[in-house]
Amino acid sequence: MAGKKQEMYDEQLLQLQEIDFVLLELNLYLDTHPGDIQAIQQYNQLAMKRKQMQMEFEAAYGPLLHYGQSYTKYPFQWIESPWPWQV
Amino acid sequence: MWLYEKKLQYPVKVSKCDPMMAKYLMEQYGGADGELSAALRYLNQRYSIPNEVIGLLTDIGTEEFSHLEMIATMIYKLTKDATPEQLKAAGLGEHYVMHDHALYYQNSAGDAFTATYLQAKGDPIADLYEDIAAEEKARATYQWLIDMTDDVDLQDGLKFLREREIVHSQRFREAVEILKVERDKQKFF
Amino acid sequence: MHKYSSYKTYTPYISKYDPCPPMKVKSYSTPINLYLGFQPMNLPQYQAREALQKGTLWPALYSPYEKVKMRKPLFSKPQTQPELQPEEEEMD
Ligand SMILES: [Fe+2]
Repeated sequence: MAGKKQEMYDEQLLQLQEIDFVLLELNLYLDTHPGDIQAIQQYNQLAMKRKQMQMEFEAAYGPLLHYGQSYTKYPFQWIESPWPWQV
Repeated sequence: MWLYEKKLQYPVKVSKCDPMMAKYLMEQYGGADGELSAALRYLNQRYSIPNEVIGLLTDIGTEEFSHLEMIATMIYKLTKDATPEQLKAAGLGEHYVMHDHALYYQNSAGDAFTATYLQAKGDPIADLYEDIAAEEKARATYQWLIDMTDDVDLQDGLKFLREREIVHSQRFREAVEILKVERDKQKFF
Repeated sequence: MHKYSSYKTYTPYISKYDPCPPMKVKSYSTPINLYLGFQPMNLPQYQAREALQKGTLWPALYSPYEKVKMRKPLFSKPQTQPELQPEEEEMD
């Protein structure tokens, strides 16, 4: 990847990392505050939005998850580089 | 079971060729208070702890693996293109002889990872206090690592990881509060 | 940041026989988790981008480290009870 495509990829990946981070933080919070209804609403709303973002990201850059949790084009996309530590 | 997600939790950037920093970072890779140690500690303790905090141990333990991947990424990038001479100058000559450019679960002094870094007492309070202490020690290690580099991009990743230890410690402290309430009170009336 | 200090300082004993130039003031971190107690509900949150960048969703939990050489000595009067008053307040 280079130039414009790299920039697009970086930005979309960052947006995914951001929403996933908020979800993770809410998850740890809810682990000790299971009765916070507002936090649960926020969690569910973001979880829905996240699903949408995942589909868009995967359509452009390939699967995020393995074991059938993401779709793949031909040939099998999961094995394609770059891996997260290579980027 | 676990799923792997093909992305880092936080973008890791390393801007300076500094294999010696890779050696220091191994403290958080295979050291006593490192990320491997943390992940294994919490995921092992969850089998013998009251139900209310199993979710927390599972989720923090899982997050620690994503931190392990971040540290691995830093070490990988710092050593990837280093020559044997550069590694030798960085104090990684022995590492090169044993492992070439492979990563290995060892601390900054080259001592191999050991299960003796983890405790599991089966006593929920003892274990959670162990976890709080582990988080504080990891936080301190990140401080000393931040002190050891002037690469602001690397510091940025380390600052993120340090803050995560503060949040984890906070949650473990809350877990203690949950477990110390008089849950059996009605039995004594 | 918060009303309480995120680090404390102390002054080690200095002997005239110490071989190295003395560090007159030493400091140690006292992060937010020492003061917060059980996190209250509905605390203000960062926007997603800032949350990721800071490493936490809540300004009240953000407790950054300052490099030793950048820290100013705090010759502190007795510490007052910490209050939870995050300066940066942003609602999502
Ligand atoms: Fe942690």
